[in-house]
Amino acid sequence: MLRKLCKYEFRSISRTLIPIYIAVIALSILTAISFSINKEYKLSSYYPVDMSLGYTLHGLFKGVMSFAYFAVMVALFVLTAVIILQRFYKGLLCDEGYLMFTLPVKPWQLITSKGITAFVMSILSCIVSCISIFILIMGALPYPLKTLAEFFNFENWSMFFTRLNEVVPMWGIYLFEFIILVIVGSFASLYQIYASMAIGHLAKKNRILMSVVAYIATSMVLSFIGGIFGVFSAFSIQNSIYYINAGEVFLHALLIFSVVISIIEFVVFFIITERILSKKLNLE
Amino acid sequence: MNNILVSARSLTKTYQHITALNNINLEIGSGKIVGLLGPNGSGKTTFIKLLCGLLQPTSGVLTVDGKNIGTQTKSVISYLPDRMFIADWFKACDLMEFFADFYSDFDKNKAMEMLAALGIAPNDKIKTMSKGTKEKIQLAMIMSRKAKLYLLDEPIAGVDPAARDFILNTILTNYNEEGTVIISTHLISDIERVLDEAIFLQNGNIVRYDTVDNIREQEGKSVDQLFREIFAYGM
Repeated sequence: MLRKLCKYEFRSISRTLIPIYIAVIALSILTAISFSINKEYKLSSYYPVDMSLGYTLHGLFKGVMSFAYFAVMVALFVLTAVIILQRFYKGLLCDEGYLMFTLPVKPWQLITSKGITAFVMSILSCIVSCISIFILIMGALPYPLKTLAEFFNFENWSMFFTRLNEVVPMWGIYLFEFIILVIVGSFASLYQIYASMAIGHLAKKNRILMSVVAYIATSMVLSFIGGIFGVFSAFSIQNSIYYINAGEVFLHALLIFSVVISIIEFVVFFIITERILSKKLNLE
Repeated sequence: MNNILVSARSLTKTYQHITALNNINLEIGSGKIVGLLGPNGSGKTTFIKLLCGLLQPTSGVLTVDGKNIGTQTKSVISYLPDRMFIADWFKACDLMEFFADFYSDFDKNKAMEMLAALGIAPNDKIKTMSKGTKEKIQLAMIMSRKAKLYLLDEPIAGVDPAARDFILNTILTNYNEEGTVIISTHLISDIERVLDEAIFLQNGNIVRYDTVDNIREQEGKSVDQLFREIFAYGM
């Protein structure tokens, strides 16, 4: 059942996001092209400043492309966030809730399907923006193909990793811990949003406003708790600073500790959301 | 043989300080068409929402087919709310796929036939349909299931008389005869001819629950007339 829920959720989200992804990639290619045309033109030009019509038009083209690119990148992030909010609010707490909450599925399955699809879509949005930046850099470089060849050169990478192993022998573990932190951290923030909307749903009216209030309140509680732990960990570093590899130990401890905190946040927010939608559901 | 499909014992639902259902006790059997009758705010929608699990009772016990309300009862209940509940970006075929995916008792052929009768092509988008067509396509989906309990909340409110006939005929010709249909409405004269039983709700209380034949025999009047008497203002 969870798989089926995710299937419809992906369909619903991708309907809006995939056109944006295509627009971002297309615009970054166009922008990259606009930067790469006439790259050597200035060098070969006799005059220091070219006032010809072609050059001015090209400048205009570059300007417009850069602006369009910037706009579409902003749209990508704003839309991803808005859609994640909207899929939960409209898909569960408004009229569509009448369909979803009468399906033979448990509320936790509904909530989980929302979280999984939102997470995957955020990751996709990040990947698309990375690809687009990569395309832009390629366009701005003087010899993109040569750079690209170097980028995919195995020897360069093996040199890089050899150096990395010398300087930071534990980099693999750091990377692993960091990726885990990003994943659980994303889920924790997603479910903080969901829990806030569920808490807002308890109000009789002004539910959206109450959701915003709930989000601010939970954020304040979180930063307060985080602050307390920060103070304690500062004291513990003071005591451990005499050890040889204190820095490394501290970094590991910090990463693992953040992972644990994020998992706790995620679980608490998930339970709040699930309990409210199971026991206190009251669709308008 | 246990023929009781819906059973409510001391069922109460309060919202903050408003009592929507007050200590309801009733049993509804299988294979019947039951009218849930009462003026606005009498608790009809609350009762239906409790049955399909959209609300949790404040106190009391409610069972469908001997089970507490949960995923098992949801899989045998076909519910038509009093509003649009399908995402408007769906196409008619997406909607059928959705119902077939989640409800094992969904009959896709039957749904196709009903859509064809309505003149809806599988690739038509819900968004482009008129309000009346949207209501009909929802009803077609609901009635294409071979459910044990159909819950229809105000299915004929706000539609023209021709559409009203279409809706009632669709219900009558398509419901699972071993199942029960509960129709909530305040438009009784239109619906009276199809009812086997009638439940009269007033301010969260059941004021009468009887078969339509009994009402006619004992009172010597139609359900509609009885309704007008029970819920008369300022008499």
